[in-house]
Amino acid sequence: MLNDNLKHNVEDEADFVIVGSGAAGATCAYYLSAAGKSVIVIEEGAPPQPAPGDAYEAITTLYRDGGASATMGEDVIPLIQGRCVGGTTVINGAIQVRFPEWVWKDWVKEDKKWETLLPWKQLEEAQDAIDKLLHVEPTPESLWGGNGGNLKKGLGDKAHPTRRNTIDCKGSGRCLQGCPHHAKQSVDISLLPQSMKNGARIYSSCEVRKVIIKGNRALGVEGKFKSGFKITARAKQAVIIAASAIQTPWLLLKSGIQLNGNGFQCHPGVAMSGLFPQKIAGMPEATQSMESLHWCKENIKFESLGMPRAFRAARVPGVGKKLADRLEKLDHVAIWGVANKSEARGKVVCGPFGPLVHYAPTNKDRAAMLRGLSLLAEAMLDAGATEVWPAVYGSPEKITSKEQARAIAFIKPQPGLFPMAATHLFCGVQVREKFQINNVNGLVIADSSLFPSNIGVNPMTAIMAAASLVAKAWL
Amino acid sequence: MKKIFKAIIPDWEGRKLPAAFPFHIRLVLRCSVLIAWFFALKKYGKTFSMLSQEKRVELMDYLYNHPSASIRNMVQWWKLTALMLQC
Repeated sequence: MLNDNLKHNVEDEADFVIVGSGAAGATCAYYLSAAGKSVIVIEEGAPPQPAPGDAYEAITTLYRDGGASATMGEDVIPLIQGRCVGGTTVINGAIQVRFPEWVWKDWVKEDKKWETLLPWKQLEEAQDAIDKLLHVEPTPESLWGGNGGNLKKGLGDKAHPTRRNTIDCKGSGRCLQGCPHHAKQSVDISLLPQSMKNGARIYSSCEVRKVIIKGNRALGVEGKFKSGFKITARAKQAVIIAASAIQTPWLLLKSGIQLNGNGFQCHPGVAMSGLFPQKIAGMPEATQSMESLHWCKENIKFESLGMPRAFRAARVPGVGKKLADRLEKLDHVAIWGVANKSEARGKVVCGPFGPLVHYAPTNKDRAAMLRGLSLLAEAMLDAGATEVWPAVYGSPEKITSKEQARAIAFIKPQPGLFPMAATHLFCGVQVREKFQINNVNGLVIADSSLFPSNIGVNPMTAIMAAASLVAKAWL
Repeated sequence: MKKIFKAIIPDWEGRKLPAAFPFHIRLVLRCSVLIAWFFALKKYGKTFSMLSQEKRVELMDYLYNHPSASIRNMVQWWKLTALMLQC
């Protein structure tokens, strides 16, 4: 049952109270309700309306803070998070990459507990189950489009079609504004309806303000609907926090819980555009149809970005007339991105208006991104681009030769080199047995806040697999 | 704000800052206009509003390529906001 923005106070009780309805929260709700447990899910955002018509409407209704939140540091990096029933799964590119085993091995090398908490074999099985549940398949060639097709051309065997969670994708390239055809299997249309059939109760447009703790036990949560009415939800077994790598530590800090480990990480991303003689836009294309994991160990991953005009325009460099001229050619512009498994660690703290994320990539991270941009520029020229617009401070405005492309990698790394966006958030909050935090019994973390490091790839599969092991630990 | 957005994207026709932006972000964005004001005074001896559209674009291009990362970041933020409000 979905209860949106109720106009009366609510007192409810269930075996489990889950805060957040994104990838982690929905997965926990799915597995716990399927096992016959009573479940309450509380979500700050509203249910997504029939796919918003334009990008502005989508950003202001589905994105946290209208897409305006950002990190605080030497670089101001926009933080991309969904705030709606289904969380960020509603506005991501539908990409499902398997959790890299080498990252898991690094975790185990650092702390043996991960062998017990997230055993590799069980993680693999959980990922298989998620792939099946969400119909994960490689993007068909008919949906590679101009961006993906040219990335394949430029990188050859080093690029492959992304595995995406879609059924009958039309290639409208509108994943980032909520799929208009409900083809993307975001959890609001896949796992949550099934959980509701199993008896889960969802309260949306309701912000959880506090975890209720008595002695050393979590009893439930208190929250407030947008309407101003309050909710008190009590948990007989556990309170599961799955509110994202920013909101989870923030809620815990607000509730007076001291965090062991608060090392915010993300994958800062930077995009590069190139002008092609042939038309790039206009044909059916999945938002992110092609990717390359070939340079993963160098901490960089490449993706093609096929999006509506409004989103693509933000990746085109320059201001004034230069920008206007380039925007006129936008239909011939391919846009590819570099995501960086950055080594930098930041911190989530309580600010006067909400959570603040202190974070700045290191120069090593910037150097990795420069190397990525350099490789992409070369690949763009190989794919037939007539000119590449790197948008990197200190590089030529347009690049037409491979020498110029290679030179990008040797630009001195420093703050403010290129505009970035931060996706895929992690926090490294320490958990103990059954994913409980500190010495508070029955207070469980299920989202990427518990990941001790970033994982270098799109984390939806990893988050859902980990969340399913969290749920199973409580069955 | 509108004049800055028009200097970044000529012919910009967009919406006002949306209520979905938190109050403090709207406040910071509005106050950040002072940066353009300061550089207009420093470079041309006039307020940003008094500059011709051509000079405003020239100033914005100067700030976009400014040696200070903070200034460049600010222009990027204006640009992103302008594009978002126009879409």
